[in-house]
Amino acid sequence: MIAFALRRIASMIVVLFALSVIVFLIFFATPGIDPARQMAGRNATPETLAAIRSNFGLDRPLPVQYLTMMDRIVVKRDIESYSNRGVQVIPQIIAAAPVTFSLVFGAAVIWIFASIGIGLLAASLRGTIWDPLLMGVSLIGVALPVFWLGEVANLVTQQRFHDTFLFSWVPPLGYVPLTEDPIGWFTHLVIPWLVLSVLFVGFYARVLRSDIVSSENEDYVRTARSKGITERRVLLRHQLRTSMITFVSLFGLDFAALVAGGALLVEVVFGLPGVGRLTYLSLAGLDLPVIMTTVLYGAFFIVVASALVDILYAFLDPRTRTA
Amino acid sequence: MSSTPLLEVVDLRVEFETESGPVTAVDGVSFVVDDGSVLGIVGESGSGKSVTMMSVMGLITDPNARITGSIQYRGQDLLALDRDEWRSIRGTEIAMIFQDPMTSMNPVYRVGWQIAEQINAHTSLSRKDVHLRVLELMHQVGIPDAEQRIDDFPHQFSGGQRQRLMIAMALSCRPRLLIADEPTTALDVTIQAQILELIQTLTAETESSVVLITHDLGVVAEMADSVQVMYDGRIVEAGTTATIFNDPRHPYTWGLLGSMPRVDRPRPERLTTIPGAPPSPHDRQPGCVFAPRCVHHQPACDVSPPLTERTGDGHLDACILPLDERASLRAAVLAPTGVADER
Repeated sequence: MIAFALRRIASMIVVLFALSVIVFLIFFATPGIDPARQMAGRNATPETLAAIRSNFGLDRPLPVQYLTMMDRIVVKRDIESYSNRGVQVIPQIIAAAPVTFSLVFGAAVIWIFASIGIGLLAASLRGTIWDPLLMGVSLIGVALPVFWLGEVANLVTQQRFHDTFLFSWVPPLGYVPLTEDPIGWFTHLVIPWLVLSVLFVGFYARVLRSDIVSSENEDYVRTARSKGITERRVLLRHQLRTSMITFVSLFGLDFAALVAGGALLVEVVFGLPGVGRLTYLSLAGLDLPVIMTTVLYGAFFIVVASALVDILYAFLDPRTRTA
Repeated sequence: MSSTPLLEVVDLRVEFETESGPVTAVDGVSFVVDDGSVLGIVGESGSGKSVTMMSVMGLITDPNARITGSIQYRGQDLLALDRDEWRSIRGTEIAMIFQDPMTSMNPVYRVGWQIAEQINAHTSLSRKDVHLRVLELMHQVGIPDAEQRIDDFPHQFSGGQRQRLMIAMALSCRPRLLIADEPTTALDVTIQAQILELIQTLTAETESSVVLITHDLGVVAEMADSVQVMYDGRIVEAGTTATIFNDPRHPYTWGLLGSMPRVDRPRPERLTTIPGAPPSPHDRQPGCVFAPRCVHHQPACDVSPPLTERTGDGHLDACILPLDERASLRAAVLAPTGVADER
C-alpha cells in the first residue's frame, strides 16, 4: 500500500513536469505568435514589449525560456500582469484560492452526503414509486444550468423574499474569510454551496443508485445474504462499499476541476472573488500572464487530486494495489 | 430416525413474472432430506435445481418471483417466516456454497473478515474467540499458513483455495444442512476431487446433511446416498444412488447416463446424445416435460404422468412406459452398439 502510494507520487511529479512544459510551449512557442505582444495586452508601447522580451529571456533558447518562466512563477513569484499594469499575479491567486476552496469544499460536503443518502434511498426503495421519483428529481438537478439556478437563487434571497423571515439572514453577495468571521463565512456561502452542489447531487445519486442496483446480481452479494447477516448490513457493508469505488474516482476529478476554476459561473453569479472569477476576468481582458498562471495552478490541482484519488482507490479496491 | 425429517419440501412452485408472461422455473417439486444424508440433485442447466435450493435458502430476492408450496425445516415452515426469523436460520442452520469461487467473495474485504462476519452474525463470541475460530476453520479446510493468510484478500488465493474458504465460511456456524450448488464446476479436475473429499469429511464430522446440486453424474455416484433427477422444473426420477445407477427407469435418466463415458463397461463406439434441446420455460406443454425429446413418446404422454413409486423400494419415476418393457428399451440407449451390459 505504501509502496503503491510512493510510486503514484513519483509518477505525479513526472506528469506535473510534462504538463508545465506543455503549457509553456502553448504560450511561448506557438508558431507565428509573438509571446511578448500577447503578454503585453492591448495597446502596448514598444518599451513594454522590450521589457517583456528581456524579462522572460525571449531572445534566448527555449529551454532557458522555460526555466525563466518556471523560476518567475514558482521560485521568485514576481510575474506581473501587463494589461492590469504592475499587479502581481501570484498574490492574486493566493488571495483567490481560499475563496474557491471554501466554496468547493462546502458544496462537496453537501453533495457527498446528499447523493449517498438519495442513492441509497432510491436503491433500497426499488420497485416503489419513490425510486423513479427520486431519480427524476435528480435528473432535473443535473439538467438545471447552474448560472440560471444561481440567478434565481439571488432573485429569491436577495430581492423578492429578502425581507421575509425566510431569507432576511442572507447577507449581500460577496465573501468573508473564515478566519475573520466564521458565521459570516457560512451565511455568505451557504446559498452558493447549495446551488453548486445541485448538479453533483443529482449526478452522483444516479450513478450510485445504478451501481448499487447492479451489484444486486453480484455473486458476493448473494454470498453475503446466504451468511444470514441483516439486509441493512448487506446494503451498507457490501453493496455500498463496492459501489463507492466508482463514486470516489468520479469525485476526485470533479472536486479537483472545481478547485482549479471550474466553479467559475457560480463565483461570477455570487460575486465570490475566487480563482474561477479571476480566470474569467483575465480571459475577458486577455491578460496572458494571469491566464497562464491560473492554467498551471488548475492543472496542478487536477494532477495532485487524481494522484490522491488513485491512492484512495487502492485503499478501497485492494485488487489495484499491485498494478 | 425421528418422525420429522430435517428438510421436507412439498409441491414447491417458483414462478417468475416476466414481460412475456409468467415463467415456471420449478413446477411442483417434493422431496425429503434426512439427518446426516447426502442428496444429489442432477439435471442440466435451467432444470430448476439451483432455483429450488435458492428458495430453501430464501435467497430469491427478485420481486417478480412467486413461491408457493411448503418448505418445512425441522417441522417449521420456512415460507411462513418473516425476514429476521429466516435470517436466523440462514447461515447457521442451513448454509450454502456456490459454483464460482472466483466471484463468490467480496473482493474488497480480507478473507478472515468475511468468515468472521458470518460468525459474528450468529454468535456473541469475543473478538479473540472469533479470530481463533476463523484460524481453526482455515486449518480445517486446508489453507496452509492460515495465521499469515487470514488478512489476505480473495484475489490473492487460487480458485481451489477460495472454494476452501467458502466451505470454511459455510461451515463456520456448524449448519445442520449444507447446500452445495455445483461446488466443483468451476475448478480444475485435480482440485475437484479434493474439494469433494473436504466436503465429505467435514460434513461427516458434524453429521450435517448435504444437498449436492450438480450436472456431473460421477460426482453424484461418489457422494450421494440418494439422487433426484430434474428436468425442466420437475423431478422425473428419484431414488437411492444404487437404484438410479443400476436400474434407471426414466428415459431422460437413460440419456444422461448414456452420455457419460464409463470405465466399468465396454466402451460404445459413440456416446448417446439426447435429441433436441431443453424446452423454453415460456411455452410449457401439458403432459410429460420430457415428451418432446423422448424417443418413446406416445399419445398418452400428453397427460402429465405423476411421480410414482412402482416397486415399493422408494424408487420414483414419472414415465408411463410399462415397467417390464423398460429394460430392453434402456439397453438400446446405454449400450447403443449392441455390446452387452453384463459379462
